Amino acid sequence: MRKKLLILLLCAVIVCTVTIGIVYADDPTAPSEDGGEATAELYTIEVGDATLTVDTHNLNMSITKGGRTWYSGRRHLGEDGEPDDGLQYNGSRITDGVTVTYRDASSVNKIQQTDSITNLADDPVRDFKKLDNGFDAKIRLKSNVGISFTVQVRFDGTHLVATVPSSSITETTDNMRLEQISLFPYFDGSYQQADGQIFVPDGSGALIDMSVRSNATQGYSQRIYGEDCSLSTPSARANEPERASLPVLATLYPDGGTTMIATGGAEYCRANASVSGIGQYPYNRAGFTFIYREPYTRYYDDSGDTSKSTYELQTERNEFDAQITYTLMDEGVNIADVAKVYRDSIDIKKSDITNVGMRLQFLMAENKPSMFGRTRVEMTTPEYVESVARDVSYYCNGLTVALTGYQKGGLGGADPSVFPMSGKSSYRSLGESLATFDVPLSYCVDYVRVHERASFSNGNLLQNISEQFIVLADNRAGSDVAFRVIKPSYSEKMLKSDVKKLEEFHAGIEATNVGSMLFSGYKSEAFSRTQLIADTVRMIGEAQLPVALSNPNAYMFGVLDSYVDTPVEYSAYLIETESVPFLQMVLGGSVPMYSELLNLDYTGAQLVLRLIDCNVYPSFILTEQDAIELYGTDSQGIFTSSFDVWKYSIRSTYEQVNEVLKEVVGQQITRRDKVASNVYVNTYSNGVKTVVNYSSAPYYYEGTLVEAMSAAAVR
Amino acid sequence: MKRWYIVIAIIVLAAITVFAMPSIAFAVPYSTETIGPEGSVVPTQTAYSPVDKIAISIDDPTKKVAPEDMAIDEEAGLVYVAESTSQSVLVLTIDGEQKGVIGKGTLSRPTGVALDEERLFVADRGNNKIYVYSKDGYELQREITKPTNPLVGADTPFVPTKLTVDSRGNLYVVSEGCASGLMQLNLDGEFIGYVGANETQATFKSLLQDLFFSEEQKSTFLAAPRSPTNVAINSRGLIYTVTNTASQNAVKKLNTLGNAIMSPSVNYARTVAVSIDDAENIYSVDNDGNIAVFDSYGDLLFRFGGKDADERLGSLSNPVAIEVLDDGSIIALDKQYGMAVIYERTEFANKVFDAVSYYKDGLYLEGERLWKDILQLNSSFIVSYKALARASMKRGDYETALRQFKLAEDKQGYSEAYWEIRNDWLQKNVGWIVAVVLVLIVLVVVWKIIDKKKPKLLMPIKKGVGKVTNVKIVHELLYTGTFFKSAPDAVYQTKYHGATSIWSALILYAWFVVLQLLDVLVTGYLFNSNSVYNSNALRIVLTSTAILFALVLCNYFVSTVTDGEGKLRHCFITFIYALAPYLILALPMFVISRFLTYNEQIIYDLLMIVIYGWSAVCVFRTIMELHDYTFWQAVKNIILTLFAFLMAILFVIVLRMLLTQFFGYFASLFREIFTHA
Repeated sequence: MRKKLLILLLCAVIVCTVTIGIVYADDPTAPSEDGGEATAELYTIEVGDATLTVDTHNLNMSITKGGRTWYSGRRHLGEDGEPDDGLQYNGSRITDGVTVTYRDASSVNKIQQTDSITNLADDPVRDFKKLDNGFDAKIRLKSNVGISFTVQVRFDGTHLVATVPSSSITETTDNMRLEQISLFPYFDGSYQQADGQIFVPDGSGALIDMSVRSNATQGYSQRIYGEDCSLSTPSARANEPERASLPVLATLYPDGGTTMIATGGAEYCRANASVSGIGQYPYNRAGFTFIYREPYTRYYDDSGDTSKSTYELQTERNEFDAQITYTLMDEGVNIADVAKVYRDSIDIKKSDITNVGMRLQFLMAENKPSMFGRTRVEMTTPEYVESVARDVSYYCNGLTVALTGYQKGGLGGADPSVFPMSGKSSYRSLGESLATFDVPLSYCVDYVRVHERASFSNGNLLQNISEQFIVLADNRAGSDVAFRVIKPSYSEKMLKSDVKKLEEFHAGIEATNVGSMLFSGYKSEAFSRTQLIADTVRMIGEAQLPVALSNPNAYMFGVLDSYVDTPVEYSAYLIETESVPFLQMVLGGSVPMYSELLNLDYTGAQLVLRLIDCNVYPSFILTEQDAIELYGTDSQGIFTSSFDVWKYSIRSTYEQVNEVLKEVVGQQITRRDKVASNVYVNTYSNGVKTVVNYSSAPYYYEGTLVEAMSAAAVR
Repeated sequence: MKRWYIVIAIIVLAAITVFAMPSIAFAVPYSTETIGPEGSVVPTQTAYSPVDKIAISIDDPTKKVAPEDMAIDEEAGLVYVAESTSQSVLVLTIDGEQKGVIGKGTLSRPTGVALDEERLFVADRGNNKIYVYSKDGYELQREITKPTNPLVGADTPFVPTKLTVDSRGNLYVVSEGCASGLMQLNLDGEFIGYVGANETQATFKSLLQDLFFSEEQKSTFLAAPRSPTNVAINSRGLIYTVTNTASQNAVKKLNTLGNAIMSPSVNYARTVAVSIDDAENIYSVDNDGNIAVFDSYGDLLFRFGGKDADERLGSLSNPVAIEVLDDGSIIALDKQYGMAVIYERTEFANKVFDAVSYYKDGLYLEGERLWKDILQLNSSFIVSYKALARASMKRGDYETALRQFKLAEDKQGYSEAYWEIRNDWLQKNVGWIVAVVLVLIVLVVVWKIIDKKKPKLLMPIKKGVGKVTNVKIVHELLYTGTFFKSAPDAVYQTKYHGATSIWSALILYAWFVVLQLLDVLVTGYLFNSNSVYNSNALRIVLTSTAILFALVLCNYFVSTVTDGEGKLRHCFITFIYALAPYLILALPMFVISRFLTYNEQIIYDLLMIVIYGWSAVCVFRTIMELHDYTFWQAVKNIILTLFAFLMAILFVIVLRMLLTQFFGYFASLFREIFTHA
């Protein structure tokens, strides 16, 4: 009997042990195998005069330095006077250091779930490794999600670097797929109306005032370096919103601020900013979200019929190390300080700028439909370009000339590369002639897109993830043509071929879409956004001739010689309150920057002031013939271009810009101040200040009268 | 007249000073369009830049602001906004600062506001009343309810949604569901009459219903005219109505009798609201957030705006009202965003408006400099060429005017300029013309005399001509002359004596196709409905060839089942020969048209009618003779031929669709297989 009882007891113990084992195996709150602690504690690191404290349960951090505290997610007192750390927005808990988005890939609609880590596991931080200069935290989400990754944080007293190594990410379930990770999404955020601004990289740059209630119903959210046309069809509206070409955000308060730079995985990240009042949500915040997979619509029919499509999620995860570098800024931080931090973090090719420049782009020829096919419309001859350049160079020492539409059939439907060219010898002598009076010449090319009418082999065209040729609509006003995307390998071939031939033409190239359109490739030519960046930088870097790029992304700054189509404005989203020349603060003094074509949006004095304010040089599109000749061509959106019509405005614009900017040639903006309503002062590295008065009243600055709607340089 | 302009300029400048606004233009989230060549809409310089916004807020920040309408008192610098969430009218400064609240506790759902010198009128669709408040102190002065006048039927609803007021205090009220038009009320709320009723659009179905339905059925089934949905007034007291759902004439200008006298040249359906400035330019906004600006004649000057999912300043999501200020700035109220957007005129737009005012007053030469400036900023601004052409005409520079009228696509003006040029040329060359005519007459007379008296002298020439005409193919081609004169005889000769051949017919078919091309290339500008740039030679050749051959085949097949005697060969030959009048006379007419103006249009039209008519008669008589038909048999044959022709077109369209779907199906099937494989 006793023996039986003993056996029963033994059995009971075994059953209990097995049961507990089974239960614990699925229990997310169970202690981890590698000895991670389930209980929360505060871990503190002291580096110089700075102290970093982190809650090991949810990675909520606070950094104290010089009397100011930076919070990764600040608690605020609720109405009952208790800390309201449960406040959530879109599933994200303010006090949690990481927010994760995942999708159920097995469901038809690929159901998406966004949550902060403490909502996704009772004890999400399984292994917290304390280091002298930071910590490593292994995060494991509940078992039915099955995603885990490591957050590495390093702190040197001024810079805090947060990284999620790609190698640390694991997905253990069959269906749940990691889509996005937001690292410290509330870093240096604030509560309700606060005295301060958020900087977002919208166009030239934009500020969001946190002290006023916004009418906006949505925050700022832009993909860094633009959307991927292999995964989604880009819209083609005229006056598209500006692209976020710099992976940088900032918060600026009177007592300090933070510069946030996506130093790793910028090509897969999205910059977000929101202010109190949007969606009844009381927080101001800025942060980056890293994208590991993207949903897309797979079409089975070229017609774009949605009934013949399925909603899919990328199967392969994007491989990159996500990294954000936070730089803590002291009291009195200025937007120019943020620009300096960013400038110091990147590689910029330094060009020798000696004069205030001006860029004249000539449209040589177009074509239009006629009774018998298409007729070439001759707009400008090389001889005319030479005579105009000679005339303009008398008063403009920094003139540069670019040519477009020089191909045999004119611009519309032309080959994407420089050659074949119409009338080679006259172009060759144009290059020689311009070189004699030091006017650089370049040929406009587009190695990324090809016109739908161009005779181009389908084998050299890129297909999207649905294996269809990518069709991009033209976003120029008045144009209804479409373009295809060229395989990057073929783009490189074209560039190399052009470079070889262009040597004898005394000319450089001016590339559109190269370094500004970022995409990935699948199946026949598979490559990632990261690879395309590396290839494009190498390709342009190896070109042995001057290269100008049209509105490129930040990763091209190390190889470009001049920047054309420079944005001088922001998109004017309702959330934004002010445009700021941040891009110019980063590149100004290092790379000559030319504006977008001014004659197509000529707002007169205000436009000139904006150029001066941004330290950007004017740019015009010109023709010998009247622009009415372009009606019916793909370029009919160029509704005014005749040099005869524009010569006086060009001279007047240049002289006004030159009058002020000649004092700051080759200099960087070190400070920007709004000294009165619609009056801005930029301080340059040589101590000269440019005062731009956009207002309708005169303004005195340090004893200098600046008339209404005018600008001045003050020493 | 000049003094009048100076006064206007002073007033405008004063208004700008009083109503000064921040002047930094933001990035423009839209492109601006205007009317370009061939009536197309083309891009142009930015005419209006969004410069600021007036944020509208209510006491309870948790509730969504719902502005419905606005009225602006520029003198006081105040904006009155009907707001339905707070059930009140908010009084704001142009900077958005709230100065007062009107009607709290009284108003239920205010959706319309209007102002006169002393009063504020509020249309309340919740209470079905109009409330009248004093502008000083916002005291409620009067409530206007549904008029008791018997002309307002008992069943007629009184749901005031929008309203406006004239200088005499007469109210023009949009009452929802009231198909009789706007209700005109005096200040005491007494009914004066209906104005601006819309008309029902006659359709084939409605015509049948009107014919066969009883009065009771008509009242049930026949569509009532659409009710106006908004109203505005100009400085002369003329009313403009808006009918949001109208597919044509969405905006109508009424005369003092309440009849429509003008609508903008381009109709934008879904127009929500309009506003009129002192120069009677029309500003409208539609549901899609597009703002259109028309001059007082209704010609489109600019169109810009539009919805933008990205929420950018200047885009509109749900516009409900539009107002224009004295300096030309536009304020558009958006219900979705809960704010009003201020758009400021650019220098370009200012020039256009100044130039338009000169043009309107017939001061062509005075406005010439401005129009040239505008052309510098947009070479496709067609209105400029029109104005400059008028100025050139006034200066007597007809050659320049002719070129400018052509660019402006003003054919009437082109005709006038060409008449002057032609007249001048004729006056200068009348001696030569008379001499040439006389010489020609003399030559003919001399020829006849020699032919009569010494015929041998002309024999070599006659023999030479005879040799050419005796060549078989030439002879057959010249047989068109016989068809020209007597089609039945010619058909008889063709049928039974081989007077013509397949080859000569083929040449004539080719000539017919060439004539289609020459029609585009040679016909004078005034009489040419085709543009060289919009015409494709290959398409013309293929289309005309396909039509001709299809008609011949259809006629042949129809005739085979309707006892026709003609063979396919004869059908083919005689059909093209029957078009002899057209084949012979079309080219001379194309050439002649180059020398004519609209003054001679009647001659040209008459001649063309004769050519087409004669050709039709020839075809008809050819069919009769060829198939040995009676008159009515021939008529029946032609009707059936045309029907068969239409069926053939339908068949080709259906076949094309089926083939596209067939190949598309397999393409998507293969793609799906390979994707999932």
